[in-house]
Amino acid sequence: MWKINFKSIVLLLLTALIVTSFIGCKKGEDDPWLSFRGRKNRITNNWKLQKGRVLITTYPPLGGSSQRTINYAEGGGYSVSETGGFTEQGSYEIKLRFYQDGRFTKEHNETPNGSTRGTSKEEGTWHFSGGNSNFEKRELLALLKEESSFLSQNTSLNTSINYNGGNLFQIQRLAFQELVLKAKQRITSGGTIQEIDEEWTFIPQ
Amino acid sequence: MMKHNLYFRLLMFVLLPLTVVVSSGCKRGEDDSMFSLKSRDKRLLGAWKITNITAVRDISINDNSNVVNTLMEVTFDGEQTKQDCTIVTNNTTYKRTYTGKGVSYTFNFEKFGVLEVVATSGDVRYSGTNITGELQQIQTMKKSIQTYWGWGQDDKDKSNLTLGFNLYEFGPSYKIRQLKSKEIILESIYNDKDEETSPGYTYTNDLKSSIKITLTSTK
Repeated sequence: MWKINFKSIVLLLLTALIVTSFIGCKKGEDDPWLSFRGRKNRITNNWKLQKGRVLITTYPPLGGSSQRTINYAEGGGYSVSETGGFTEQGSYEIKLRFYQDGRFTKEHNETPNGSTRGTSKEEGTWHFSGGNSNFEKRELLALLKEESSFLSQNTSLNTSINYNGGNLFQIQRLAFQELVLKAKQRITSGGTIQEIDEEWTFIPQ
Repeated sequence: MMKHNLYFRLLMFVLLPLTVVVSSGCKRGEDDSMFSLKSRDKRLLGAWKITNITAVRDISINDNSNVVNTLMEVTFDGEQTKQDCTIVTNNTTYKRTYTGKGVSYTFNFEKFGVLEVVATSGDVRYSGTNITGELQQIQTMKKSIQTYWGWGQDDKDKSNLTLGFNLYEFGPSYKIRQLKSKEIILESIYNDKDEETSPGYTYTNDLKSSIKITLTSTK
């Protein structure tokens, strides 16, 4: 009788311990509740962009505001639209690869309709960050670029779709089959305020 | 009374070493104080002003085979800056020295993982090779960035700091040499190489930088 009780207690404690440790793995708001893989294992993969959105709002010193929206749709099409009326459509391919040794590579291709732009490549180191009062430990992802190249097929360089993003992203969801990154920045320069709001969803290649 | 005194002594005997052991666990940076009663988060949060910079920057620019190499040694004491530049282009070496009121920076580490950095303009005078007399250059850099900050990867010691921006000479990742309530010392080695190529044109910018920054609390 005593043995059965003892076993039950041990089992109960073990179950509680296992469940607690898995719940501890949930760092991003939309992370899966249970995962048998650690965060480093989950992120170390070849990812491709499934969809994304960058919203850049500019507030000039004399008032008013303008917006630039870059929308990467599912299926490989992108569109750019600006308050002033400028639009651009085309196709894209964005690949992101994280290695176990802390290196990353990023390849960014955009082909505007009826034109060519070029291929951007970046490489550097990645690490999890966070652990402060707002972000859980490993809730932020740092991408620290060490090298970049832009190869254009045109005689004039045309990198107009690029924008100055940051080094730190909030991991909204890190699952085996999906990685969602978000970032926000506010830059004030010469009285002009620029807010950059971005969200990227990656799936395994 | 005797009994109370004995208890008190026993308590002190146990508590004192425990406090020292726990507090000395807070020494993470090479130059940290032996113990601190504040957590590392609490020590970092708040407003800071850069009061000292020593930096070396080696920049090589190749603009379609026109190569310019610049080696800069920068010091800043919170008010005055001095930049010694050696510029090599077309097998000719130029020297320039900049002195004057440098750009001042403030950092604000906010509770919710937000970092605000403000750079305010200054002006410098410079002289050197091929320059007659002294020339003035107004540094009209005024910029602020609100972004994220976080500790480094698997950084139980919280001895590394990652910033969400690259502003002027500052890199994104730092080793914390010292974290006190009134003073922080950060160190970074930062390399970045960018290349752009189109038919008939190549541009590369190769930067190698090391920097040591002292921040003083304005809380």
